[in-house]
Amino acid sequence: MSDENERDDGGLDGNKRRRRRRRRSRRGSVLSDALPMAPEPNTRTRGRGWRNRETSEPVVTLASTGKAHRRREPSQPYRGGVLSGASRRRRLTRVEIEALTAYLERLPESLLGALYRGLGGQPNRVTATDRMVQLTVRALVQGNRLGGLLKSMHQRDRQALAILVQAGGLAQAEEFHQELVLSLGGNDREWRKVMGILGERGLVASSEERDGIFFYIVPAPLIEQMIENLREDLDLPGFEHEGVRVENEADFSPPLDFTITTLATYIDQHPPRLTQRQEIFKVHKDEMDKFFAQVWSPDSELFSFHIEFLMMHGMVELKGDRLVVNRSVVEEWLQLDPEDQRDLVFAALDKRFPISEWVLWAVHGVGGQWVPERRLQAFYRRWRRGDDWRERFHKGQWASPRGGARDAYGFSTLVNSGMMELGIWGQEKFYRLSPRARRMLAPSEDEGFQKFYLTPSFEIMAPAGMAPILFFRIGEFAELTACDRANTYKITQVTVEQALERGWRRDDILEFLRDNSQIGLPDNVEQTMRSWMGHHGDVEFHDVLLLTVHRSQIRRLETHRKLKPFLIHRFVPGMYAVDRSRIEELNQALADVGFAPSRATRRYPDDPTSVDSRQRLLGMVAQAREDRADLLEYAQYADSQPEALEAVQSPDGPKKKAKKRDDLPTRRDAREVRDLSERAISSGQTLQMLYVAKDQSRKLLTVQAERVAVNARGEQVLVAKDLASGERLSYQLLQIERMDLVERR
Amino acid sequence: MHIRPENPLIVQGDGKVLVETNHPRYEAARDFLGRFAELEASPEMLHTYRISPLSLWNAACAGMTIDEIVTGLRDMSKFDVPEQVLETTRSTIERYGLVRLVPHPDEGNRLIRLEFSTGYIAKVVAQSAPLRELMVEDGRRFWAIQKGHRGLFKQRALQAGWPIEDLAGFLPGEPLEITLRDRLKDSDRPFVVRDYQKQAAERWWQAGGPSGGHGVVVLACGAGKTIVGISTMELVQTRTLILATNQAAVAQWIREILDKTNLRPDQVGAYTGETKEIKPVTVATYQILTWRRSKDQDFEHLHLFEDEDWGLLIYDEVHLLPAPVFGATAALQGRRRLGLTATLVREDGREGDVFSLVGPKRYDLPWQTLEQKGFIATTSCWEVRVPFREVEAARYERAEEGEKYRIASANPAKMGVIDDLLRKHKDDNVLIIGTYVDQLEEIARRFRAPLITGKTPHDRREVLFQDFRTGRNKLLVVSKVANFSIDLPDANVAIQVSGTFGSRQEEAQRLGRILRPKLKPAIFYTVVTSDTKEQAFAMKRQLFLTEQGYRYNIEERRAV
Repeated sequence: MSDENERDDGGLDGNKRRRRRRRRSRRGSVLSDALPMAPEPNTRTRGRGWRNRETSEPVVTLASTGKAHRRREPSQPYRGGVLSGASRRRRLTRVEIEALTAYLERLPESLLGALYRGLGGQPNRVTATDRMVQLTVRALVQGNRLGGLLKSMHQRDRQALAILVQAGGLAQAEEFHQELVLSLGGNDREWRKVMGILGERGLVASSEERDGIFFYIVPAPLIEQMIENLREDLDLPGFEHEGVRVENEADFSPPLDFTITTLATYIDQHPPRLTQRQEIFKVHKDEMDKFFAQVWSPDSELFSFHIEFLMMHGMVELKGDRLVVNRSVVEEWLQLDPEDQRDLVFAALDKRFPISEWVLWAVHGVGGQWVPERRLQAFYRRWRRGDDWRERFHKGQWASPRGGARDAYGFSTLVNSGMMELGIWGQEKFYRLSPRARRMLAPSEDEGFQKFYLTPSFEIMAPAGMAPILFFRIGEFAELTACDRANTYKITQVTVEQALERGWRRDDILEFLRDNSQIGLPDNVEQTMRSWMGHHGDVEFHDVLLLTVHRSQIRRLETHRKLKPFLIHRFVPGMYAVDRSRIEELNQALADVGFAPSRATRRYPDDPTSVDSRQRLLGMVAQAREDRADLLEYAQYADSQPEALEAVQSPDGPKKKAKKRDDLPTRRDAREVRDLSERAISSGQTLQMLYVAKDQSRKLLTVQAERVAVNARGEQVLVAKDLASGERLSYQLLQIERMDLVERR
Repeated sequence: MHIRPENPLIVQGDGKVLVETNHPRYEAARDFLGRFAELEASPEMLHTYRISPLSLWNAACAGMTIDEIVTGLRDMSKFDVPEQVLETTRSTIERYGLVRLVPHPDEGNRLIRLEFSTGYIAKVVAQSAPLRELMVEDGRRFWAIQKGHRGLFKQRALQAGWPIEDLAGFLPGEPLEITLRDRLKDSDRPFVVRDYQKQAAERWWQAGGPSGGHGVVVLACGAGKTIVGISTMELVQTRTLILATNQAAVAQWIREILDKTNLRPDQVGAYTGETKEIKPVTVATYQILTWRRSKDQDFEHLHLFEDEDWGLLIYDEVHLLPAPVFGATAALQGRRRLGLTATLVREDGREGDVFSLVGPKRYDLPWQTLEQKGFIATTSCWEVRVPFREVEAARYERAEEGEKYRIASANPAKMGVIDDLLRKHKDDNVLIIGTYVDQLEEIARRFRAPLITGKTPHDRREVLFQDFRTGRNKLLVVSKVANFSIDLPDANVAIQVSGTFGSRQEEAQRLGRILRPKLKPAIFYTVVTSDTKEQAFAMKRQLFLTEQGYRYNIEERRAV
């Protein structure tokens, strides 16, 4: 797979990523990094590695970096390790030997001769170049020939070569002489001579000269073997003494993922406010400092690194004037491979301190001992200069820039970020990895804590060292009350209700607690939480693409290796949620396996036109019901007032006394109402009427009629003053059910 | 940072210590922590201790060294012990004993000499105005205090951060021969003081040295604090004044003393509202000591402290010690003092006064340990929730905020629950405990049970308690007068129908009524009205009980 193809793999799933990583780590073994894979002349490729540089010139190609002997170690032991006994025995593969041969064939004959001589050969006795290439390859494949040569060299020659290797196998000559003077003493002339000796043995070549300036270059295929044989000179020395005073020792240096997750939870629960200058408000900052007093000191770089890390990766965002947590991104980060998580941390650290990752690996390689500051500085300086020389070489800038490179570098950034500890012994300064960095570089499979403590008093004590995802999950339904060796969380009614709002289900919370608590779920906690949660979530909506299968095929579908990954959720046997965006893939997989999925997807509700029709019909039904209700109510109100009801008389029974008329006015039709109104207006008499209001209620009113008019809707109305309320209102004539003139006294 | 998950402790930065109780080294860890840290919560699986200045001074007073603490913590901790905790421990313990009270060589009757570890300390202490006020120059080089200021000085010094090592000694008191019986006087059954009771008394006594003879013993209700008190009386062999919470407790102390020691009835007297006897062993109530005619007048009975040459003062339920008695105690620092309590938690936060005036905590044993060893009953707690019926629900909704708790407590639907529980426990000895007298009267009437309230005469109470003890009566309804010091050994079921809001102390005391060891497990029911203020307060009590390590269950019922 080419680099371009790899780059397009952003959306690969975890398995693919792991496979890719394994391939990468395999590729990185033995000489593979150092050997050119026969690049096409005059072709440019992308990326930083030596293989990807413009390779038409110079003739020699270079190892990727001087830091190559400090390869990253995998976060899990099996990765990148030697895969089989056969590969352990074989030093070079056939392909690699062919590549080495091709490389040597392209070397100028003088250089090839020097190398051959250096490896113990006699060029004068070999007539053909091909034969010399063949013999040189054989010598290099043996391995011990180059080792013997390096061992037999003078110490200063070997040291100079080691420094050149540390710089990446490429250095601008003048500046390299200065570096040697700075590192090992002596003078320019002396080192020029030493480099000449190394050149005579074919171990160092030179680039073309421009204005008397040139670069020293170590032939790439030699780098790996040099690294192996110069290990003593290349490695950092360790130092151990009980008198070393630790300047910044923290008695609690928890894993980074613990503090990152805890900070994310804190921000989620107490979103801090930012000033216009994008700084956290002092009151909020003070609260945070107090809360995290056990893990970092106020205004420490460790805190700023954390917050920067969260913001850089979108785990925390600015919304309005507050920082808020982007939960899905945090979730994603927590689900990443530990190695990927670590890469993100290194990338963030690199922004603060260039190539910090390599510094940490180098110090880690010392095995927990102290590293003297000067040696570490020299190491780091050579890497930085090596990078600079390489860049200038490829840009064709032979001359030294004004100002020159810095001689000394400080590591305070890494110390303040909590990655390294600073020790003082006498006048000397030393560094070693902090427990936090040690844990990051060599994480243990198990810190000894898998579960938290849930007490019957609704408190959760979660010791640092548990899986970070657990901390984040707890923070979703419990209030984080203390950050310490064991984080303390409190479950309250409010936090539980918030969790439900966030999508937690009642049973999921209880199950999570039951599974991850050392003592399970205490009865009283379960009962109380159940009462807090009530029946929330008993009824839920799902927006889902549902796959159903005939009951005879359930087992076949569920157990098939190819189909299983498509089933996101199993509701009941035979009914599954599947990813809408992968429907085509799923169809193909089903077909491959021998299922015959129906072509059309059933839709609920059906197609839009029929939906409309159905809705129209339903609308009509609703209207019809309404109308019917109106009529009934009308009838009820108009004719069936309880006080107006009488018993049905038997024709044979004794005649009842005629009942006294009720007090209601006489029932009138619209015309009678109008006539009566006009009479009342002309005579100035008051009217008593039963009026049916808009809400169908009957109102018995006594009014002083003023005029009959027509309203905006064209309806005839009686404008009259209600004597009880004193209001002047208009009454629709059609709505007046009964009316009488009130007799004058 | 090293992580050692195989260890039992997690020491937090704020001085909290978490202990895994299922750890093989738990017992060692518990014994170790118990000496210099306060047990805060003891729920199942994880106990919480707190290292505080007071607990550290208690430890220093009992002779514990800094190295012992630091080494022990480092040895048992899962994580590195926080440096600030170690630093605080060092600086706190170092302060203890920088100022000491020793007998005055010349004027022992009048003065107590102050000893300072350095001249600088003397200067700093003398600069503190409240302390300087009590200090008198003793020649050119020394400082002293008046004998009567001993307690006050210690109290003020503690507030200023100078815990005093008191080596001034005690007055012997008038001798009184006291011996524990081998067989009980009443029942003639054999009597042996339990190991932990003996250990508690001996830790308090400190072999009679000046560092002993004062302090507090913390033991769960029902664990036999009275026996510890009687054991100390045997150790001291002197006239003793015992202060208890109420008349029932006074009667109980007298009964126990007569039953378990060689003292004759004419040697033991009660000093209460009803009787005023002053005898070689006198048992008085706090109420009578703090009684006065009006707020402007003096406490008429405080003279009791000075009337006799007491060699020992015993404060029962020392966490309830009223402020005036504190004052009197401050003036009685020359006498040996023993405080007895189940929870050294004062709602007024005056634990420091108990330390300086009565003495440091000498002995403490978690309730669960006693339960496991069978010294107190195995107990489970149940909260039974019952809703209002419709009528009362509406009344509750309409009520003023201040009234709601009262209405919820008196929910008539609780009667149905009580009825069910009584039927379920018809063979058990049941106490129904409540706060509101009208509610209790209703219960007593309905279930035809005797009722004891504050108005019930003492004699009548004794008869009813005796009936209950003998099994003549298996159901007793009591108001909060029975919260303290009532010994009803056979009660194994308590039904709490109402309480004083969320009082933890009340809950502990009520639960204590059924903790005496017995064949049947004890059950403590609390009936609350669901979805009301009462349920919210019940939550507080639930937290307290679960922190103490009791199993707590919740049951929802329907209103009948």
